[in-house]
Amino acid sequence: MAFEPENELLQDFLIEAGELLDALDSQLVGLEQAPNDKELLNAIFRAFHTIKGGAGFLEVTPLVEVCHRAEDIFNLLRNGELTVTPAIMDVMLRVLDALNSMFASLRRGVLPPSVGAPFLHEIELLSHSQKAGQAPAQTVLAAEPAPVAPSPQVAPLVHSVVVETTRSPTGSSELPVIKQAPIDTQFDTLLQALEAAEAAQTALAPELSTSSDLITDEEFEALLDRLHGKGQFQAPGHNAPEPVLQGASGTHSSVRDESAPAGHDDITDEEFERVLDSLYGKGQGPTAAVKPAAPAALTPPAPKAVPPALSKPVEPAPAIEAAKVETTVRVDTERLDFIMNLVGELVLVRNRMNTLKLSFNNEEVTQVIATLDMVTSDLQGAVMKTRMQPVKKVFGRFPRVVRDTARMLGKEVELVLVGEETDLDKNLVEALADPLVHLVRNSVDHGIEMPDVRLAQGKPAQGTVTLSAAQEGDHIRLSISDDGAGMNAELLRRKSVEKGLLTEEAAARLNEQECFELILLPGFSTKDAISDISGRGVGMDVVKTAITRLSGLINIDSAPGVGTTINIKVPLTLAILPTLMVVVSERKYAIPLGIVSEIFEMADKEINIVDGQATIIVRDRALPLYRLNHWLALTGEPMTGRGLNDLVVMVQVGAQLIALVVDSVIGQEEVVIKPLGELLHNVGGFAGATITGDGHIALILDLPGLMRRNIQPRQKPKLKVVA
Amino acid sequence: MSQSAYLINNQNSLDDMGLEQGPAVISRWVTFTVADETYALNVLDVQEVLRAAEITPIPGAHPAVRGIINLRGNVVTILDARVFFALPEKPFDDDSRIMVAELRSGEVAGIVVDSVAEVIALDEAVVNAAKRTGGDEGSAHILGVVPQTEKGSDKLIILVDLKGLSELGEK
Repeated sequence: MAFEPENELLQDFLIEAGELLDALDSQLVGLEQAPNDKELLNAIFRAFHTIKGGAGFLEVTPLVEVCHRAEDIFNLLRNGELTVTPAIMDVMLRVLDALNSMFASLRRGVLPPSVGAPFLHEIELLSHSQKAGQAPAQTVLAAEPAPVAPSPQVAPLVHSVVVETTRSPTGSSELPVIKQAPIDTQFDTLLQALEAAEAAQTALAPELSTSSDLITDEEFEALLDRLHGKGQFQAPGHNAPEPVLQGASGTHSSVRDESAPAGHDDITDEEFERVLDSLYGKGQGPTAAVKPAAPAALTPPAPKAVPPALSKPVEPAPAIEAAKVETTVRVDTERLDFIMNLVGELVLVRNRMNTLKLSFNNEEVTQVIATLDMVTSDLQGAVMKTRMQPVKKVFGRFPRVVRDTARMLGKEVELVLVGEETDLDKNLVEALADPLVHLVRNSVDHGIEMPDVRLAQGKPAQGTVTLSAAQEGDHIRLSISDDGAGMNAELLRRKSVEKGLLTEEAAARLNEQECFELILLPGFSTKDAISDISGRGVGMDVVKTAITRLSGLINIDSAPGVGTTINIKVPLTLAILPTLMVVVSERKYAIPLGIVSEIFEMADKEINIVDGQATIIVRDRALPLYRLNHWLALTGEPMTGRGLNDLVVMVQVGAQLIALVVDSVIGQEEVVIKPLGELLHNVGGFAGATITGDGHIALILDLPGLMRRNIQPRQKPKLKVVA
Repeated sequence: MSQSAYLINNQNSLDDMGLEQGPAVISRWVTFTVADETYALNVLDVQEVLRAAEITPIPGAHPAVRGIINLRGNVVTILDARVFFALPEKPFDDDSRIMVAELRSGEVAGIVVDSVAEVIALDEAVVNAAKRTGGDEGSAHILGVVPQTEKGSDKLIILVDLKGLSELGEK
């Protein structure tokens, strides 16, 4: 099997199984909270099973062997033969990590390595872990079918590989376990050996399950495995008491007979789907939604198509699905981006029309333009909505993050998620994931105290971290708050001086809010010891950079003993940016509106020079004042001084407010960001360009970048707040 | 049915194209002048030639960057051939043109030249020979030099390849 990225089957698998993996993350953590949730157990079991099925089809053996074992454990769990323990959960979460890294390598087109026999064995051992406590009746059964595995059919085929049969507490046989990771050439032989062993085992199954009319999960399992595996065997009908299953296996073997002469051992996607569907019922098969269309296009219809007559017996089971017509379509994000780009163009044309309509002075034209304006706005909104994803997609990973971090630190933390359904631009969802993980980890590590400390302070032993999202106009506010120790402004001041980030006087001048924002500085850490989780003093700086890149704002609020809240404000979408158009040296520039806090005339303000830096006082607050025309001067352009009509735009850059002098302000304009070409990549200070309503180009300023470029580092600009 | 017909047609047109690449391989080049020297860019590399457009300067960019223009809704970086070939600067005039070319990175960029002259045909063998002699000039973007045969003059045409242009340092 080729693993090149253009393999469509592989891509489909990666997308669908990837979604299952994402869901598993929160499902597993959820299971820990509700260990008896049958629904959840079934869902997890199905997820592992589906991934295994797909991986088996693509012959990704390392995935199969892990999923298979995890599936076994969950099978026992959902049958009540095992109970959920932290030990099991730990192993299962590690399984998930292993699967995630395998997926990562599959995405790169590399066959992932096996997790190794020790880990596989560890998973198997879980099934024995609670055996002692099981009902006595089962011990009788356990002894009985022992000689099955080393049956004569198997032995000659196996060569050096040890096949061992583990027993589940019910006494019915589980699949043989391969102790050594098989090398490629041996794998086929092994598969056949497994097949033979299973065939022998399933023959025993009816006796074992006589106590119940229903098919046991083991039998079900065995059946499934054989359906997925090689087709050399004849399905023994008596194994499958349920008519649906019989139908399925019957169909399958007939199909196999047909395709066998073609020399093809692999089952087609279609067949695979059909079998899975018949087993699960279409409604539950997680892949059912999109799959049917894809394979139809892929598989050449002539030789392999299942004759209609044969597919009939499969249908009766899921009668409901017919009604469930698929209402969603999976669209390549590239296509969405393209549409978004086109809509952006339309918005620009609309802007131009709006400018032009004044010169027409014709009521009819004005009306038409007004309609165009409205339709364009609606279209823009609608297209934007298609790019929206619920923030849940990011939040989904946090239960796990909190759990792992808390467990590692020996803390008790509850995570409360609020506003998971808030929609956010897809790109933002992705871009926010890492910064949020960082902040949540910080909350657990730095914020929440150890249980005994909390109790001593009269707080409940379990800390709470609340992660919430809400839309506020054209912005999304995300906040991470904890009820932990809070931050001590005095301590932060002292640390910043100790680390040489700030002079003592400068530190003393900071107000409380500004002290909290010190933690956003690179190299700042309050932890004396560096832990695995945090404390290196790089994290918050990275978070701040990431948020700033999204033209977002971050602010911190904290009270000692009560807790800390970190608020992040990001625009709803990155594609269209509300800006403030200003004129500097007769050229237009766009400043992202999100960071503009105030505009005022310079004439009536007093300007002082403090330590060589022009400073303006606004409502008793001194802000550093910079002339944008100095920053944006072309070579040889004269640097003008104070103009009479100059305006000052107050903007928030990182944690700091600065005042910028501009020649004039045109007003607010929604612009479409056009990235600058690669030739200009290393020119700092511009987030891109845009085409204005009158067809000209305006550069969009990236103020943090401009500041970096224009202010000497020794001045430590970010701290140049003079109170 | 219709699909297979299309495929056959397509096949034919592929054959047609194959015929063009017969024994006498010629390539077409657009010549342009910068400071009285004649240069040429392969036609296949040139997307279009523009008359003077409004160029928005980029403060802080490399001196060779004249700025950016709005090319039907796309932002295109414009370089100045004179700065590029280390020649004295000259303001835009009626003959000035912007030649727009696609770079290997997929980015589209323009270059300001004094004037654009014509399209000439060159024997691929001559071009290849020129390529072998060039390259030691210190400029990575000059392919080589060929004699200007058609007009009977003794001037040379400098063959230029802009596809390899990449990030320019800050000023």
